[in-house]
Order: sequence, then C-alpha cells, then structure tokens
Amino acid sequence: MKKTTVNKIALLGIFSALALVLSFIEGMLMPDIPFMPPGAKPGLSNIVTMLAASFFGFGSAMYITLLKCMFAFATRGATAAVMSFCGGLLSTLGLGILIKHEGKSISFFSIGVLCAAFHNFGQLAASCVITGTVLLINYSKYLLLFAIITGSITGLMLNVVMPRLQKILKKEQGLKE
Amino acid sequence: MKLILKKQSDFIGIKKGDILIVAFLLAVCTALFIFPILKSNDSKTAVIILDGEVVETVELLPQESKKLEVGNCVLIIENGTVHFEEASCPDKLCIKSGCLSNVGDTAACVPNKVVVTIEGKNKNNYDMVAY
Repeated sequence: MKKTTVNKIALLGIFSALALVLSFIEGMLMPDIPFMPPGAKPGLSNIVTMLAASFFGFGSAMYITLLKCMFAFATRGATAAVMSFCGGLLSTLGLGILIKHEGKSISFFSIGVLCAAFHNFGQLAASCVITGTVLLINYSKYLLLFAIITGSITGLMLNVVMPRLQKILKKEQGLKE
Repeated sequence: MKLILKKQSDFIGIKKGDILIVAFLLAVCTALFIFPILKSNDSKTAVIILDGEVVETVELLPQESKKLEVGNCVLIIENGTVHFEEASCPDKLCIKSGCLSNVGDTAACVPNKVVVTIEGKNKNNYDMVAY
C-alpha cells in the first residue's frame, strides 16, 4: 500500500514536469499560421493530463492543470494565467467525465478532440469576460477547427503510446513485487 | 496503483463513438465557416470596442487611411483593412492577428481589453455587444 503511494508521487512528479516542459516548448515550436487564431497552441501537455487522469483519476489531472496555470502566471503573466485556468478547468472537468467511458465507446482520439474544444471555449469565454464583449465569438469557428486538428494529434498519439506505457508500468510493478 | 489495463495490443483502435463525435464537430465547424459566406455585404465597418464599449466605428473604404489610438493600442486602417500596429501587452497576439478585411473578422488585445471586429453595412444594431 505504501509503495503504491510512493510510486504515484514519483510518477505524478514526472507527469507534472512533462506537462510544464511541453506547455513551455510548444509555444516556441508553434509557427505563426496566418489564418489560425494567434496564440493557438497544439496542447501537447494535454497528453500528460489525459495520462494522469487515466492512471490516477480526475484529482491528479486537476492538480497538473492547476500547476500549469501557476506556471503560466509565473512565465506569461496574469492574463495568460486566467486564460490557462479557464481553459484548463473546463477541459479537465470534461476529461474527468469522458475518461470513465474510455475504452467502452470512445478512445483517447475523441477525448483529445473534445478536451481541446472545451479548452478553447473556456479560453474564449474568459477572453469575452475580460474584454467585456461577446463579439469574440467570431473566433469560435477557427478555435473549433484548430481543436479538431490538435485534439486528433494528441488523442491519436495517446492511442499509440498508452498500451506501451501500461505494459512498461505493469512490468515494473511485477518486478518489484 | 490503479491502472486501467484492458488490452495488450500495440495501439488502441478508433471506436465508433470517436467517429460520431469527430464527425459531428466537423459538421458544426463546416457550418460555422459556410454561414458567414451566405451573408454578403457590400460595405464594411470596423467596430472598435474598449472595455466592452464601442468607442469608434469606421467605414472601411479602399482609399481611407487612418491611425487610431485606443487604450494602450494603436490601430491602423488602410486599404479597406484594419490591424493592430502597436500594443503594450507582452504577447502581441493582437498584432499577430494581422489585417482584418472580411465581415466577421475579429482581433483582440485581451490584456488591454481592445477588440476590433468588422461588421456588414446592413447590421446597424450592435446586438452582440454586451455592456
């Protein structure tokens, strides 16, 4: 019982570090695509959030999301933190519900797409509140298109990575026991 | 540790639910892109909003050239387009939005609460602005 807790803490630490690094570098990797909403990012750290939700449940995913939000506050300022929080909160809440159905009728593919969409609309809502106008809803078509593209990439990546990770973690546990 | 172990295949296949969800989202997305094309407008107006209030409306004419200072941002209107020239925010996303020329195009500087959107002529009432 104790060992699993230590395992969980260690893995969660690695996941958190991964999420922070991914969210930091994806901003640099992103080229300025002209017709895409500026500031749109591939959401690679959502892979880690989905992993955490799948391995340890909703609470751990939320923990990583909040950590990312604090990281955004430290590196990119208050507005970025509010945007990160609103997007992250909505997408993680959605993730918490969707992850329960994973493997039954849906795979990580659509979870990734839906989480990306939730994230984008959380951010859109936040920016609407900050600027005090709902006119930003004009962005929604680009945000939705972008969510489908990036969500597919992260989701399909997890579809491929997940079985391997599970195998490794299972083997590791088996060796120790 | 509670691991979800169901399959040991090399990758998780795409399920029926996935296709339904993504197809639905794609349909919504396509509709959102097609809908504005159906509404044709001959003349365009740039609406500039600062902190939720319309501060300036400028008709976009090909020969019109104008420099506007709104809040902490500088906007340039030229050749029937409008774009952010300068902004005090750290990320400069508003400037990266580029030139707006079509009805429905919107650019925003969220930290400075400045929003620019292009509306068609027939829409005189700003029923989408929340005060």
